[in-house]
Amino acid sequence: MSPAVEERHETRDTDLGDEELRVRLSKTWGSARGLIGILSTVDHKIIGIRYAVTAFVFLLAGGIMAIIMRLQLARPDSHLVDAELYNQLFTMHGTTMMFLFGVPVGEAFAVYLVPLMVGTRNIAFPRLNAFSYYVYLFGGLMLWGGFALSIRPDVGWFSYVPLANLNFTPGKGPDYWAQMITFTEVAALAVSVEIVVTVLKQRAPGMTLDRIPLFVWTLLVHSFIIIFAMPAIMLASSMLIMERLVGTQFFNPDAGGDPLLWQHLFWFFGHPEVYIIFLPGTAFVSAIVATFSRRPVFGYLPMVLSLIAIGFLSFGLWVHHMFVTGLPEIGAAFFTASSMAIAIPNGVQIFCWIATLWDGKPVLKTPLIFVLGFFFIFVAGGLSGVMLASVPIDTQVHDTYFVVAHFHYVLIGGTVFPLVAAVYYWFPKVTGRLMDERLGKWQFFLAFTGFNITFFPMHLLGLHGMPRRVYTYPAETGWGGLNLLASAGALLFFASFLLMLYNMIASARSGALAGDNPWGADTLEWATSSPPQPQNFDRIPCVTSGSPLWDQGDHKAVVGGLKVDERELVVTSLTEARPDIREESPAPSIWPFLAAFATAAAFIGSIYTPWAVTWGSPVVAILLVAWFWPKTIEENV
Amino acid sequence: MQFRWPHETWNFGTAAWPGPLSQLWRVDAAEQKNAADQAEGEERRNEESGFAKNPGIAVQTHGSASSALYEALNTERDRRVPDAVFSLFRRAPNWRALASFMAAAGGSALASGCAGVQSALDPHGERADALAVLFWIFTAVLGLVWLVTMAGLFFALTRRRDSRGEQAEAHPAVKRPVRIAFAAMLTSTFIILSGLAVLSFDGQRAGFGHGVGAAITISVIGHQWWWQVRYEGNNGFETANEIRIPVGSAVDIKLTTGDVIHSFWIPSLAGKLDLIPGKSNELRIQADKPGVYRGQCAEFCGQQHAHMAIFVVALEPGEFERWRAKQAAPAMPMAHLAKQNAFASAASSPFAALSERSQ
Repeated sequence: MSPAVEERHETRDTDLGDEELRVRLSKTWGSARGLIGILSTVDHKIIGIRYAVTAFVFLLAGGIMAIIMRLQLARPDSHLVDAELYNQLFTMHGTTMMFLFGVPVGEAFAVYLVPLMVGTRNIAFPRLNAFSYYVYLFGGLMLWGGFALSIRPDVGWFSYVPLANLNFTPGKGPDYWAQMITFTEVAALAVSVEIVVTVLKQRAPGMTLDRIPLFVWTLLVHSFIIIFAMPAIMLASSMLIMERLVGTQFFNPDAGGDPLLWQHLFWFFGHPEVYIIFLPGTAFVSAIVATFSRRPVFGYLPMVLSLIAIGFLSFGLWVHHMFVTGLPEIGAAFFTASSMAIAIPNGVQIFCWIATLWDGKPVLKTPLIFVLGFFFIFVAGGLSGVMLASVPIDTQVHDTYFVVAHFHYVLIGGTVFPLVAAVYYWFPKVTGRLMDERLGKWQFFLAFTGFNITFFPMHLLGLHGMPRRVYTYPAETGWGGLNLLASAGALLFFASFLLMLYNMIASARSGALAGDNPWGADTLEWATSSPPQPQNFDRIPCVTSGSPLWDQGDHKAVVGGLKVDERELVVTSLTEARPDIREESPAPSIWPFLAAFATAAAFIGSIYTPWAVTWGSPVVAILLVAWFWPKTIEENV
Repeated sequence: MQFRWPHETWNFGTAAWPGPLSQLWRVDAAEQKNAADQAEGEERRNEESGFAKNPGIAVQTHGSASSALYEALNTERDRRVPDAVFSLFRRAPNWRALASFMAAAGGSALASGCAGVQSALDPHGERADALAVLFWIFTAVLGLVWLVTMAGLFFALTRRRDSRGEQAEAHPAVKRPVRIAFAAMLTSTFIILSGLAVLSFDGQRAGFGHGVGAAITISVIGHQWWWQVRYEGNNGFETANEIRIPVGSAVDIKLTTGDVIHSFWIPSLAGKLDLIPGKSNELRIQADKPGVYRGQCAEFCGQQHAHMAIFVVALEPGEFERWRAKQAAPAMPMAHLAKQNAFASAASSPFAALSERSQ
């Protein structure tokens, strides 16, 4: 199985014993210490953790904004915050949760787990991976730094024109918002390319397409959705910046433009965005359901086909965000049909998971309990989505709290509950220690009750006529009671996250030691130590089944022949994962950080003057040249 | 007793607000109270009047005048429910009756009820009725789907619990009943969704088709953050933030905007429709009985979006004609009215509709 060529003077992994191999590989693959070392690392695990921590900080920030809004809405005619601040709060809340938490947190898990699950030593294009993280970080810092400096977008996370145009919203708020999108989308696109290449070319030998874990399949589809959806929003946000900065008239009907063009472009991205955020949630559910049912997920093929169907269908739904703009009736009806159709592949997934639990022997640990919460909430949110798909019903509930309730059921139920489950599930892999089960169950109790008390009443508020994005409401509307209830629930829900934070910190210090595979799971990330060594696997595993750790027992087949003193990994063929070549994986480098910094400077500068693009581009180009400067390498053939 | 209209709580800050109109909205609370008191007196005198059938207008009998007004709009519903139940058996498809029946059923199920001056579940017009029916059908069907799914999950979990420490199975034999159940669930999902889609298409055609020309066409022009209302025709005139319509006639509302995107929404009468620059949308509304129906802008439109409310006042046809004639008279243009702010405020507030009848 090993690459055919032997070169005597180099040490191969077949030459060494286990202990020595481990030490030498971890030296080869390790990251340097010191500031430069920290900024230069290309280890996907370190970058994945950074992604996750950053995303969780933004989750907390977005959550605090939500709490302030709920306090304001707790009673009618409240003056806790004024209209201006409230509008900034809901804009920042939505933007932060969608772009700085929802998308990146999926990437965090993808970056950390996919290389481990497919049995390789690093992600494809690891320097691009480092670059993507810094771009995301700088984008988030720019938005929040602007907020601290009172440059605050206040036109919603959707920035509809003409409200977002210069004449209605002067100042730089919307420009910061639009540029932040460019940042996070550059990052997301980079990660997607890495994941696609990692999954298609770096799988462990023997991991044929039908042995890829469902988690990995899901993130592969997720990456393809990003690759096709994100360009739409980058185009749209760039058009918005140009409209504001140099007076293009893309959206001005008096000059032949159209404000609906913005909505089409935004939602052509915006609906796939929902699935970009939701699919990592389903990936977590697939992994956790299988492990705690003690068997593979029922219906592998229907699951994979559903995922692919979701990927395609997610691009055919965007108009259901525009049902009340006065579109032609037939056109709108088409999108009713397509929006309802996507419930079918989602239903297939739900039924497959339930069938797995039914057939299996579920062990009720915290991760599975959160997944059960996911079923309860997400199915409800999905079904209220079927209502929104109907044009006539949508005319009543569109842009009301009914929709707010719906998408929190879908996004929190579909993503955040599985995410919390995933934190409990993979925390031992990342830190080597288990999280506290008792606190986990308390957290579930708080989160589940808090969530439902917060968001269920919002369905009723919407039906009772409460529109979204209102900073206050008169007492006469009778919305006070339900709003107060929702606000109380929000405090409970928020408390559940504080409890998780405490549990994470306490468990990282003194949790029970986990061992390699504390849950008895079946995928390859559990075949290595907790936390994994820099090289991930001392010997590259060889896969003969969809559940390698359950099937192969203690006799783990491995592939040998990789150099020990160089960063080498195995590239395999696309469908059958036959070992193809040994490929060198890039070493740590400071250039990605510097390039990201220069890119950020150019992006931020271009908010103020188009010349920033002109002067920034050569700098970025020079740094990229340094980054890609060819080294003389010995040919290994 | 204090009257508090939504607009009294507005805090405009530095927002641009058309001068004369802002005066229209400075409603003197005492004056409103008088108006309401008059209305109450009138109600006792004139039992035949449409408004008088609503005892809720008797301000003193309720905690606040506003709630009294709101109740005035909704007492009809309570009276209508038994009729609705009855008529379900009497005539075949009676959308209105079905709507109110289901609204009542659902309303009592949801503790908070469905009454409200601005509620999609408290329909007072043909279109809102049909939408409410469709909503309750969807809710019932999808609620059932949710229950069945959760029941499946529950049984899946409780079926076999003495399982700790058991070995995982990498290749479990897939049992026939599981396969059959899976196929059945999938098939029923498909059938249910198809059925709902057909219902939705039907509702879309019925609710949005424009049949014969409406009796009245009114232009509504959205502004940050008020509604300009223009009655078209030879004797055209304008009002602000208030639309008066005759009961029982279809009214076409032509929606355009003077600045950003807004959305016109009177939940009790019809679904919403956006006002988009460079585009003209048309919405048909019809009120079944006299009353004041509140609505508000449903598309975020800037700082004071929360306060962009509009009232539809449905009057008996004769009364509407009298009002229209008075408005159309050349001596009473809006700008002129605005200058005499005391009168103007009374005349343009929705409550004025109630007080006027008493004259």
